[in-house]
Amino acid sequence: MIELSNVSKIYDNDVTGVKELNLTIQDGEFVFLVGESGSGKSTLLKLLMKELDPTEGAITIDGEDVTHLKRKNVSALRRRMGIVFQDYRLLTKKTVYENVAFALEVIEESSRKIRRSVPLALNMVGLAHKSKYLPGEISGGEQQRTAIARAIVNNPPILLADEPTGNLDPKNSKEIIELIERINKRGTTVIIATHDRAIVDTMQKRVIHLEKGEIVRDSEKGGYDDED
Amino acid sequence: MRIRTIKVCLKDGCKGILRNGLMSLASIGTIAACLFILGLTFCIVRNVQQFTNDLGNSLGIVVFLKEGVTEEQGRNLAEELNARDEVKGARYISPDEAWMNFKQTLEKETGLNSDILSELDQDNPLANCANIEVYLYDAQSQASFVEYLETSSDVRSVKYSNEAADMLSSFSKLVTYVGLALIAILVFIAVLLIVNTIKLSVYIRRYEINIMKYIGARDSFVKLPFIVEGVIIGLIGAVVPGCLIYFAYYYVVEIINERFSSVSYLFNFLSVNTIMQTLIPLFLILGVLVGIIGSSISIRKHLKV
Repeated sequence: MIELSNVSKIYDNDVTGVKELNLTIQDGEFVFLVGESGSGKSTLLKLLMKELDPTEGAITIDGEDVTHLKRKNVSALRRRMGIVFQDYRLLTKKTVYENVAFALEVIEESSRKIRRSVPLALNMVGLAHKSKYLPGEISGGEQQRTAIARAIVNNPPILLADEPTGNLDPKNSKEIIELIERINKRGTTVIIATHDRAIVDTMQKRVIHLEKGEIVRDSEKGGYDDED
Repeated sequence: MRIRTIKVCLKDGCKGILRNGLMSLASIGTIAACLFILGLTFCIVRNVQQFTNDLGNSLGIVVFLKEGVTEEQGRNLAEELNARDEVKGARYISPDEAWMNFKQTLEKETGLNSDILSELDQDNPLANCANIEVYLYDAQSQASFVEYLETSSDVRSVKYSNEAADMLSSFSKLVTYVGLALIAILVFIAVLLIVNTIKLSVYIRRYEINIMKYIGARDSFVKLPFIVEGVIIGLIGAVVPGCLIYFAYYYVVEIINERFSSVSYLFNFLSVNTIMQTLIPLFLILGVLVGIIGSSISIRKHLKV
């Protein structure tokens, strides 16, 4: 379970990232964070992945207070979450397989575990047949699938995605979101920051709407612009 | 840390050097040049120290003993002095030996036959000149040693060259300080160069580092390949001037000894092995340290993700 109580983030230049957020996300939930650019979606994700520390308030993840986690402990926290970005962030000189394996290599997993887990993750995202391709040789949708495989290869309980469909056409966007939904159904908590109205409207999941860093709407199920 | 992780870090470190081939080469070259100058400075400083030491050693102290001090007491005092740490050698010279030495010196310097002084053998004019000749390891300790001697009840007077010892001691200190300052500057330059090379390497791999941090890599895992890269650059940059100095020093000393025998008569050069005994560990330690410090400084900023 992820809990935020009175969390605010004021940047050094006095810009407010998020303001007095109170939020609880249960294990296995599927949550959309929506809002315009600058509304605080990405700040919230960065607070969860400990790229930023909150100025005020407290964050707990699975009962552990991570508000001011020491830098040396951040890596352990991030091993419990998969992170997906809009720009995929793949290593262009590594193949699809190597990119996914890289996630296990850097957390110093054994070669045996890598050989066993990478094909499973690639199967899950439907890219087993393209494991030897370089990112430049596959489509945007497939690159994002690779990034998702890399994020889930270690079976993290939480998946954070920052605009995962931002660079994709509607068809690919739909496929990516369906893939993430399948991952969610395995029990993974999913938090997606997006301003893709069509996707949010189609999925009818929990929607947290942010404006100027504040939560203006938190619907259990709904579309992008629904009222409570 | 797993063996495979260490292997990966070593491989990545080597790859980094090859990836920034020219920059690595430039760094190795400049570090080698720095360490070469450092090595030369070291050779000069050590030889000057040796030279001043030799000169200091040849500055003997003559301790004249009081009238009435027996030969046994004199020999005992010489033995007592010999036992002191700063004393290289102390030898009791009896009045008879002093007279004999005088005669020999006179004959050598004036060409007079020493037989003409034989008549005085029965009535030794140097009867009161029993003395102890003392040689010290280090001219710098002369002042305190003389002070100590003057407190002895058996000592009449002490003959020594204060100015010469002071001058040698100051000169040796000056050379050491200048050498140390130069070495510090060169080490600083070497660190700066490594920092720049590794910074370039980190910059090229910043994207990869960023991903590694997001997927839960420990700082040490991210840092290690760059430290390996820095250490390898530092080590190669140390080995090259080490070899150059070995051969250069060996041949220069040999040429001086062969062609300028008057210099080698005055100046006893340290052997190449003596120089290398200190220089090789110094170079290796400096190379590794410069590599570790330089790469740690370069990557620090990029770990804050």
